[in-house]
Amino acid sequence: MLLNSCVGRFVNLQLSVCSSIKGSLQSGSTISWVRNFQTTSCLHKVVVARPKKTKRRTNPVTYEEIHPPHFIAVRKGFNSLNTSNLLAGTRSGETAIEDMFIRKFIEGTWHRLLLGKLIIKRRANLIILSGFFHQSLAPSKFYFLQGYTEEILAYVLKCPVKMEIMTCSDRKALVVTHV
Amino acid sequence: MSKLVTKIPLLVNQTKPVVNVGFNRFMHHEKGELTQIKIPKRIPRDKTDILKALSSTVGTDPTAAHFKFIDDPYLIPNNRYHKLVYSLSKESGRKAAKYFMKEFPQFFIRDEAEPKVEAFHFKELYDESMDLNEEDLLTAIKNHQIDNAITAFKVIKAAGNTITDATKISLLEIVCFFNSLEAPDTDLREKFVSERPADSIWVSDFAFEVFDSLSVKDGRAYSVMIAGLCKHSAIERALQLHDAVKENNLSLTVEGYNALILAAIRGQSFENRWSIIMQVISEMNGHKIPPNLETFANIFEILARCKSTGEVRDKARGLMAEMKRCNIEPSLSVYNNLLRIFANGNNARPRIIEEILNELGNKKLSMRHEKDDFFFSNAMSICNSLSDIQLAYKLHSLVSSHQNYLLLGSTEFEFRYYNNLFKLIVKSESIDKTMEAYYKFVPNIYVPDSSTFIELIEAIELYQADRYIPQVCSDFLLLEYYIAPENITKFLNILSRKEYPKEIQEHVNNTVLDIMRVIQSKTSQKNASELANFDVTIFDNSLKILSNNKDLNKIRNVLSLLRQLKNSINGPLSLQTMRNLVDMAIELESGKDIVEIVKTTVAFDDVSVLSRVVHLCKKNNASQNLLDRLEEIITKNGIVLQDYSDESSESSESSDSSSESSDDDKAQSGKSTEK
Repeated sequence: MLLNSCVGRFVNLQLSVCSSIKGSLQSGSTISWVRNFQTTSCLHKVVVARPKKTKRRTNPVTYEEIHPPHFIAVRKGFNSLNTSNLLAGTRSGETAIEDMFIRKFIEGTWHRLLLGKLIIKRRANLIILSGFFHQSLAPSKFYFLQGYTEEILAYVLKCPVKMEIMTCSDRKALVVTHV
Repeated sequence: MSKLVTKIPLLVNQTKPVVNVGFNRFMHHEKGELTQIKIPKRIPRDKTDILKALSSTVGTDPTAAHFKFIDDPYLIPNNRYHKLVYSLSKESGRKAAKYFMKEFPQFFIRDEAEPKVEAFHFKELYDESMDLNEEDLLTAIKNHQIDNAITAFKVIKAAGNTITDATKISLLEIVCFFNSLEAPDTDLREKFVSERPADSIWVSDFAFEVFDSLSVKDGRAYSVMIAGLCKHSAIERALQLHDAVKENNLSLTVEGYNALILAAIRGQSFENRWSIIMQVISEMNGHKIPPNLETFANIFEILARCKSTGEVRDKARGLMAEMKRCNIEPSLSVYNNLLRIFANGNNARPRIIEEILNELGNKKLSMRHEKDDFFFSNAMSICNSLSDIQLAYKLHSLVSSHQNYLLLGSTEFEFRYYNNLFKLIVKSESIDKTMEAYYKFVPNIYVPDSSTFIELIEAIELYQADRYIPQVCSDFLLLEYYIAPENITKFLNILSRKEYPKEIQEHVNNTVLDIMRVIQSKTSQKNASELANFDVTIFDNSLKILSNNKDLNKIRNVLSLLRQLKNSINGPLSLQTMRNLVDMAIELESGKDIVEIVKTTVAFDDVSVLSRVVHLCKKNNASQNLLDRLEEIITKNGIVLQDYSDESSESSESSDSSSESSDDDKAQSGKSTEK
């Protein structure tokens, strides 16, 4: 969870930095001081969002976890897809908090079922949640939880919510290596 | 480009596409003939027209599950039961969420949406102590909040304020329609899936309160009351109101008269009912109220519920002509009632369905009456009883064009439609055509019921189409027909009739073994002893199937299962099968299997097989080891052997020749079992 929040935070910050630089690039003379003057907090790029290494390489990691944040949109995608952090985007703070709320809600409601990370896609006023779930529940219970989650989250977030569920019989299906 | 244009029918109402107009102009220009540019008239478009046009370029994918199911192999339902359970589970989840939101509203206060989204507003509850006005009453009526509307009405009256008659009538409408009860949740269809809504009983005395408070009681108010009373089976009170209408010489609206026509069902015989209908119609004539579709649909409904005599049919024919004269296009529910009237009984004119289908052609149909969704399943069942495949195809082409399949109705009706269609195809088409239809429909659109599935396998057997056997075998397991033991019995019975080519036989054998596993898991469940009672022919046939390619390993599995389930198996073992098995084991010189077979027969209290084995072994000089083990079984169970010397003389001769040469091998195999 900590790891995840770090990723999210990093992405937000990175994007906001990008956009601010982009804005200032338009007037060429300001480039030199943009490069030398840092106003954002320290990012700890070397250590952030790296899975902890163990002595005997026993920590299982997924493909998503093994790639550090600067590989987002290179080797892996975003976990939250929305336009709030783009230039002139709105509600970036609210979106981040809502995403965290959704992740916590799913973790509690689909307890020990979610493998890997939840992907939250926002498309117009629609929120799409997708993820890999373990097959330790009967299919009818999957449908129950789907109906329940969609209804509650739609009411809380005041917009339609859809779940796209994929299942998998192996708990370790997403693990690519151990570190 | 022009291809693309024809593919996307954006221009539904126009003969020439807009783009072509542009091209034409260009071409004319090249030729040097400058013509006037014709700007086409603007076609009014709906918001979703582009989406509809795009979706019309994509057909339905029969291999995909219905949209309401999650697109994942583990979560796609494979049979009718699962389809029902999964969709109900989802609704149940929704209900649970709604329960929590209602029970603990304090946890769901946060609403950051600006402007507020009305669909996600929680329902405001009106209270007696609130200061309400007509505006609030109208909002409640608009949102179908019956209890709020009732409270608002009472509060306004208690405060001594006046309400306009128009508001009162719209309140009366909603109260009469929903019988003063809360409107059912349209998201939850569970009730309608599992059972048909029962006839409701009039409980809305509040409606009379509103009705009495009206300053001017006109025909419309009376009509609303009469329609509501008839809908909720309070016909007597509706008739009282009708008498009052007649006294005051008022005219009802067409809805009021329609309700009175449907109330004619209270008459006992056809004549009574018809005279009531005629009275209502003459009254309508007197007030110059033109009939609508509902009027005719209601008369047809009454006719269809009478005994189908020549007179009823004459009246129905006359009504159809009348409808044409009134320029009212019949809806599917009218056609459905026509079918009920004419195709009822054996010697009726069942060809009426042909005429109806000719009339309908491949028209785009829409829901125009509440009972329109009865037609397709009813028509297909008539096609099936007529055994007319061409007619069925014609009907199906109507259903599959223009999204008419949306009118198939509930899952139950849809299933009945496809079941009748598929039954007919199995009955009258070649096996290749049948399987083509099978691949198209099963399992996503439709899953055949067990009797239809057995019919299909019998057809495959009849046409000797062995190539389809593996598909059917795996579907037997996938679609879970093994739930009922009698299905297993029938299925294995058909498969055991002949020996298939090697590869297919291998597939069949694996299926048999899978079925055995299912049986084992069923019996090992707790409290399952009463439920699991298997016919002995299941095992008999599976042994027969497995002995086709001498699969001794699998046979041993079945035999051990037989001994294990001894108490939940009905009937004695077939001796012929066991004897054949013994012969096979002797022929293959497998001492281990001989002992296994003998053990099983002894467990089922049968001595003759053992006697035969001992006789044959002694005769063929089997290994001492094998004989010892047989002896052990005999003494352990205290069996007296039957005399077998004369009976088996012929069969022993045949086995003599093969066994003499391989006595040593047999001895070895006997020894190996000891180890």
